Amino acid sequence: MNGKSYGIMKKVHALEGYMSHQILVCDDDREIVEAIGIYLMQEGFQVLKAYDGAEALSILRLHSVQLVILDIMMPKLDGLMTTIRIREQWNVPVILLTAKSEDVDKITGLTFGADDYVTKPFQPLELMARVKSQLRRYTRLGSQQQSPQLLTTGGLALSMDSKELTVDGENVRITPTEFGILSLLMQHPGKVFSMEQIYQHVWDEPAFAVENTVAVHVRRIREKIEINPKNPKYIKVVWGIGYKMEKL
Amino acid sequence: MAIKWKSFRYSSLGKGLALLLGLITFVAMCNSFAWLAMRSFEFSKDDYFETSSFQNRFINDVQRVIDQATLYRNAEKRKIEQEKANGNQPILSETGENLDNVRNYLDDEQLYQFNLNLQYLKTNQNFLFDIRKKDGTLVIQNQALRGNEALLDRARFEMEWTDLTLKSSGTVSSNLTETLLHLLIYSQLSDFNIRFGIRDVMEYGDPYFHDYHQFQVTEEAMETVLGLLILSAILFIILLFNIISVSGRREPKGLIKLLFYDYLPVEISTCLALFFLFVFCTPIVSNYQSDASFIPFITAFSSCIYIVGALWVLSNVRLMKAGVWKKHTITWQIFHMLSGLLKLLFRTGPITWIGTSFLVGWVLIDLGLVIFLMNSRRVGIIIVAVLFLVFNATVLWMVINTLSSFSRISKGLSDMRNGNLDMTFHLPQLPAPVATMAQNIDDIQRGMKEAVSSAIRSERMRTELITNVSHDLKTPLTSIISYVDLLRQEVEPGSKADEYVTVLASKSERLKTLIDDLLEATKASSGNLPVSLQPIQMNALVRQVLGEFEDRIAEKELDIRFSEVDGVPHVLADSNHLGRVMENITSNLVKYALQGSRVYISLSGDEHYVCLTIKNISSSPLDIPTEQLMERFVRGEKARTGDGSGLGLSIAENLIQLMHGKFSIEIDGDLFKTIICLPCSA
Repeated sequence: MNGKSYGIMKKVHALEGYMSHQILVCDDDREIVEAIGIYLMQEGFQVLKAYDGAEALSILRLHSVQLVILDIMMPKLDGLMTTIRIREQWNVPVILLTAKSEDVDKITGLTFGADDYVTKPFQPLELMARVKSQLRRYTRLGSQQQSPQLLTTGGLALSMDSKELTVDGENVRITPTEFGILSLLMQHPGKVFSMEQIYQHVWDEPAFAVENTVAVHVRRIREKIEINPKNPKYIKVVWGIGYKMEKL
Repeated sequence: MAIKWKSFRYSSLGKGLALLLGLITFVAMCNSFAWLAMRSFEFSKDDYFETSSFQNRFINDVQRVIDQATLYRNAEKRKIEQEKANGNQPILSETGENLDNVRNYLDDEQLYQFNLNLQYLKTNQNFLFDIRKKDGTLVIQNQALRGNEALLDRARFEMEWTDLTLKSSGTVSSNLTETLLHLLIYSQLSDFNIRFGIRDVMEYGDPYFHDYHQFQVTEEAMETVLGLLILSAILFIILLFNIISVSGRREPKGLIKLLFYDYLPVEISTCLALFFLFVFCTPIVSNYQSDASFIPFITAFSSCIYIVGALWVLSNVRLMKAGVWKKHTITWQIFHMLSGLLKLLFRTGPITWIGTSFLVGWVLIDLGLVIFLMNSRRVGIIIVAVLFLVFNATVLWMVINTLSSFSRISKGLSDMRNGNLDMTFHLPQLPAPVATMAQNIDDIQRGMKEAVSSAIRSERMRTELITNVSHDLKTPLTSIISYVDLLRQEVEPGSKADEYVTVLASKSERLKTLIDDLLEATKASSGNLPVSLQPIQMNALVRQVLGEFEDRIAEKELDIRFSEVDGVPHVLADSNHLGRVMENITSNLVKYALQGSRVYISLSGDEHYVCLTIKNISSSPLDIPTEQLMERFVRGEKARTGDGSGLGLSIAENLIQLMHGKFSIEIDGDLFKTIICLPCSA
């Protein structure tokens, strides 16, 4: 773990302006809430604590909160129901935490309105990176003009004319090939492209023994845009068929 | 008050009283009815003089008068003859006593008749008559008319026979007139002038007066007797209702108690009742004299009927109230026994035996009926024909019933086969052999349902277990990892504490991997994983994997030789599972391959399967047999160090099997060969 840092985390240390942000941590396990609180405070955030969904909602009503970290398996009101209730009134980003790692649970969580999903046990550093990414997205919300030339998915924004990529508001350098791949995938979010199709679109040559190239390029892109390239949220592999850009 | 009355009704005293009163009213009813019947037959007319009794008597008297006249004429003829023989000299010449004269000329028999008639006519003194000869000479007349002939003029029914005509004054029924006319014409008394009639004011003493009086009395009595009849009838009906309603019980709504003779079969008791009736009534009837008053006769007769009838009726009523009337008949008992026998036959015998005997029985009975039919005449033919039809209709109905129940069971079975385990057959309605079958099928079905539900239950429990265990293991582990990380921040880098914490961190990480793998393996082996099969391109797959693991492969400086071949058909597999398999294998490869060695990857296939083969050199010697390596928790090195969980291969094998493929390993010295075969998608 030491020495290896996740892609975007390299860039986060210089960011400022988070001193005033309040983050709500909600889990029925007190030790975990404690631990997460410590990490957050180390990063300079202010922490509010809750131990069940009802408590979380009442805190939200009384305080200004910029992000919610929410466990799913809780008594009284579980994380999913709490997410729905939160979404009824607020737009605040929600990161779901849980030991349930089934795909169906991840999808359910995101469908219910959460912005991100982290499985336990988690790497604290990864959690922090996600928190910051969400916050950046949240504060930058509205400051991004929507134009037909701007492709967006989640925190990614690809400008077709300037050929620039921003990840959660931060500019990220990409090569023309990487741009080509990203633009294809982001123009059709959710659609699976085979490696031949990607190659043909990008290199504009008939595909021939090209899978290696494409796979390597995808890996490089992941390094740049994903918080945890081993657990990619944006570019998903569909084994034996191709890749797709997740519709977020 | 009502309760007392009710319980009185049910008491022995009450019942006895009711019966007695019933007898009285019944007798009264019968008597009054009989009286009315008799009288109405006799005296159905409004007027006495219309009644047949009067008319018959009247006609008889007229006939006597005619006889007298005829006798007189005969005597006179003889007298004349004798006088002629005597020189035409009257023998006696007294006025008004011609009768005596004439009488002398009758012979003994005629005289006897003459006197007899005279007697009768004298007795019926209200019958006035006057017989004269054509010339007016009196022959004979009613004594009352002597010296008072105007009486006849005033008479009721005054009729005059003269010149072969019958004149009548007053209202006389035409029947009477006709009959009398016939009599008179037949008598050939054309030379007589006969007048007759009934005194207007009847004198006491003769039958006419008596009957007339009777008639009057009857007229008046009629209404009374009618009233008596109605009253007694009403009372009788009330009492009857009461008797019937209280019979059999000691108290209101009590249990029905049967008397000893109720236990006789109904047919027998009926015959007995008829017998007793016969025994009692015959002497009564034979002792009856028609002219005596009918009251004692009727009383005795109706009492007999009442007593025997009451006993019989009440016995049947009790049986019916107790609901056992049917069972007390011989017919039913025979029928019951027979059907019990048949049922027994049906239940215990095998279907073939029952069916054959049924068929044989049917044929025999039909044959018998046909023979009967041929040998009977007229009414017999009708009866036998009806029997024949009824019998065959019943048989047909039974057969159809059985067959339809068979077909119902068959349909139920096929429904069951299709998964509907909620069939029920209405068991009581099925004929016996079929019912056993239905029962058995029902039992099987129940067993199946239980098995299915228990299987579902255990599956559900297993899924819950996996989910719960997963959550329960991961939660504390999360705390461990978090706090170990925090701890790391607290310790001085390079210190002993730092070393220890590093160990803790790596081990907890390992624990995480183990738990994930364990859950994966459990799911894969339980077959609980959803599998969605799609056509997968193996070439693309290999490339993707190599791409994903590029850096780690580069670290180990492995030289991948992938001999790509065109035209490899697609395989039918689940892309996620297959990806997982490839990850496991590649991670193994990266972990255990010899640093800097070559790895050979190739694809081959026939029309059914496409096989991927990976060959590599193992960095440490493989001293474990192949089969053992595939087992869970077995790692390549006996030392069990490193971060493998030993489950990778096991999981991969399970996943491949789940996709209907084959997974195998071959070890040849240091050469490690992995072969994955998957079915073609075509």
